[in-house]
Amino acid sequence: MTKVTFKAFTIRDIVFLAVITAVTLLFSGPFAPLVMTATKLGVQAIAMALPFSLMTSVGLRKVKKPGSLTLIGLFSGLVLLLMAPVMFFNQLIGALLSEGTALLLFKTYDNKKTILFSSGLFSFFTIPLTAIVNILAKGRSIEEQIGNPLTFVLIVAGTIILGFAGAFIGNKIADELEKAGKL
Amino acid sequence: MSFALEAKNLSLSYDFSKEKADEERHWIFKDLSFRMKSGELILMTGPSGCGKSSLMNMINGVIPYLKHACVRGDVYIEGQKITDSTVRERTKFVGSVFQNPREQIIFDDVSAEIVFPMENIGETSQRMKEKLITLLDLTGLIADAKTATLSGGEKQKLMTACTLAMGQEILLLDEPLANMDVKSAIELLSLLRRLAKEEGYAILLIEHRQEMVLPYVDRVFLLKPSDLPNVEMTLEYWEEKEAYQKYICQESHSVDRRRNWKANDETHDDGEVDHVGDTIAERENSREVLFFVNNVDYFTGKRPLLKNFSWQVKRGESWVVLGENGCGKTTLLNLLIGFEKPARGEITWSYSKKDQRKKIGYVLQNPDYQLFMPKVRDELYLNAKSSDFVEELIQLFDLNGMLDRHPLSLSEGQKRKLGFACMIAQEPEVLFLDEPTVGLDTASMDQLLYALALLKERSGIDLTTISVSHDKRAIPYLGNEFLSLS
Amino acid sequence: MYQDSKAIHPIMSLIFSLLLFVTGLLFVKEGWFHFYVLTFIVLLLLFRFEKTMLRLIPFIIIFGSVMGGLTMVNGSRQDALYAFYRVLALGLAGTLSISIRPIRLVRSMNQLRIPRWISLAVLIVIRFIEIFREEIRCIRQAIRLRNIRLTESPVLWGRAFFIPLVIRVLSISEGLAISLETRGFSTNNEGTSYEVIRFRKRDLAFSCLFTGGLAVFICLFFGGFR
Repeated sequence: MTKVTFKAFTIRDIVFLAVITAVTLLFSGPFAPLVMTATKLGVQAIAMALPFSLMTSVGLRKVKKPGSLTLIGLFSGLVLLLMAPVMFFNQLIGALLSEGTALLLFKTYDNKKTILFSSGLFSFFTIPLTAIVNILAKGRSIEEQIGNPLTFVLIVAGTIILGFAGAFIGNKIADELEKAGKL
Repeated sequence: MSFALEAKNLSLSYDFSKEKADEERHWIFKDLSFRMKSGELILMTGPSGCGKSSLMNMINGVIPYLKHACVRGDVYIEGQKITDSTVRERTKFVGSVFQNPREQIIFDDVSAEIVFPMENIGETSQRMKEKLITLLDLTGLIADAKTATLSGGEKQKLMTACTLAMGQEILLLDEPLANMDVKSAIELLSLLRRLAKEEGYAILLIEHRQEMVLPYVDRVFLLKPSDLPNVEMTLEYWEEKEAYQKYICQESHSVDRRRNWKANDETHDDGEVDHVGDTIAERENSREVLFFVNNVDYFTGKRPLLKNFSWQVKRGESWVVLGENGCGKTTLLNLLIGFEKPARGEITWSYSKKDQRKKIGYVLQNPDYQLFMPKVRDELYLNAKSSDFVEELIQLFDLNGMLDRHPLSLSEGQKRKLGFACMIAQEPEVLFLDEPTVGLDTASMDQLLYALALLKERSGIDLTTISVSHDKRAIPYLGNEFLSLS
Repeated sequence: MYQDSKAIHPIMSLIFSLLLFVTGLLFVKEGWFHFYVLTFIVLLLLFRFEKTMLRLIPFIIIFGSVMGGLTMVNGSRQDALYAFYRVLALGLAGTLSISIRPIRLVRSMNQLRIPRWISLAVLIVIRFIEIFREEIRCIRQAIRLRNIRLTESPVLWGRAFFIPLVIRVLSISEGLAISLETRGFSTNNEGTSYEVIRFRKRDLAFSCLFTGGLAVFICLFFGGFR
């Protein structure tokens, strides 16, 4: 059975992932405060799913090293720490969970599916984290957060679909740039 | 005697194929050798895309350690071979200042940016304080100034200060004057000259703006097309810069420029304000006014960039907007096209808003923003008015062999020409050009100017052009009316 | 070097910001929430945070009203008020955290032995958000110049937006990485620090007042004074 092989990050990798994080935050930043204030669970995840997965999948195509998505989560979490401290955990753990799941399934980033799953699932994994934050910080029960179950299922499904769509588009862009010798 | 820097038989190829023998590879340059003494300031010049920056990167180790390429030859510093040293090891001896300083600044104030490299090499706090004061004094920068508010020239000075902070005595600078106005360029060149002559630095300056740099340098290295098979460029050495000056004068006379625009007789300096262009009265009277700018104010933050500014341009006129960095030249173009809104006053076009979009073309400084199609061919034909004209542009810009390539795989110079060709293929009636010749060699600049003439000839209407340029080579040919901003 | 005489120690600011945020959300439904907000507004004003507070007022009003409005659609007027209060708590906590100068945070992180590459990456993210805001503006302008409309050809528009964007990301990060390496930066080098961020008397005073004030409200919340 193939094992996940960890490799050291170079300065180029770190800088590239940091710049990708900046662009991702620029796209998803306006939705970040929703994590703390939205009453409907999953609203912020569905809003962030497409831009986040699109940019991160490009990032993972360039830096194909286990831990890359977690670094993106760490960097964005640390920056969001300045805006809303709770977001740190949301970003970091969300990234860790989605990257962990993808690597458990496919072992290496040389497989495009790993990238698709890793970045595609990130937003989905922030949903349970947001729920926990809401329970701990706002004292809102899970039922209260979910509201109408059908709407909630649609939101979750939408988050997954948009996440994968973004990751697919990001992979397509990366394919083209790879052909042009730019990636 | 050991030299500050010595390059022996440097060769560079982007042809990676392992099966090929060196004789079969395509080399950008082959077996280049040169030497630099301490206290020397040397200009390295040559056509765009000829490998000047690559040569610099071979000295500082970026090639092959950070950018892959097939390299041969050795580099020596003070007689010590450093070919096998990494970039970090070489930073002890060689300092590099790259293009695009805006994209290399990470701190929000000047002092933090300057001390950053000193922190990296483990200087003590006291030593950092002393060096910081010296460098601020040397560059004229202010410690507390916010990096975001610095002009392009100041940013370049800041990056130079960062390099100087590391204390290496060999400096490599890649086009530090690009986009810099005359005043900032002279300040930077004087600083480099002082560092070479008073402090004993060995400085290699890569630059296109030769006429400005020549008075300050000791010698010239010229990369020019090679006669050897499979080798693109060769290095020519000019020990006497005066002889080189004569050479470039002869060269420029011998070139068939094919330019059909006459330069204005009057010379123009990037100096004081005169918001009045030199107009040719007779022609002016017979032409329709294209747009009015009426008492416009524009601010960047709290700083007024344009104050009570009025101007009018008539159809068929060719204007060049001059002025120092940060004086509002590009902003003026952006105001005219509607990318920015004036704080006060108004800009009135003879076109409707809908027509403006179709009739105005704008060649941006950086072609990367305008290229996105999968093939050069698709890029050229996208929204092109006539395929004949596109064919003509393909011939003119030598794009025939690369029509099926991805636009982004082209060299910087080729991308710039392609971006320009795409824009004029739309056959606009009004064309804005923002520093169209930056980074272009004389031959490419000639192609570009000729293309402009073709567009003018072809369109059957009077093409109006408004150009922003610092390039003295191009200014006389880009227009015959001048607007100087301060 | 620029000295931030008014600033509170960055790590303290972060911790207090987190505390304000969590307690703010917890206390939102309490009758004395106004006093809680008022207390910390006064404390922040005492320590000269007025400029940051002023900057946040539009955010609180706009975002608070939107959140309140949205809540009112499904809930009561009281729920809407609570939604507004949550944004108020977020703004209050944000006053402390956004007033931290990134360079001071980075230096503090270095003092805490957090690897320099992490703190440098944070600086890059903060700085490049602004740079890419500008880059995106340029890309959108370039799209307009090529006469491409989102409504007419969305796929082409997407190409024209994302391909140049990714190219700019690649080119900017490549240049920045090279620049950092040639400026002696390395992932395995700790380096030295120009400035040591110390815990000053001002920080002590702020910490005492802050924890004192917060302790009172925590007691109130758990019924300690009954």
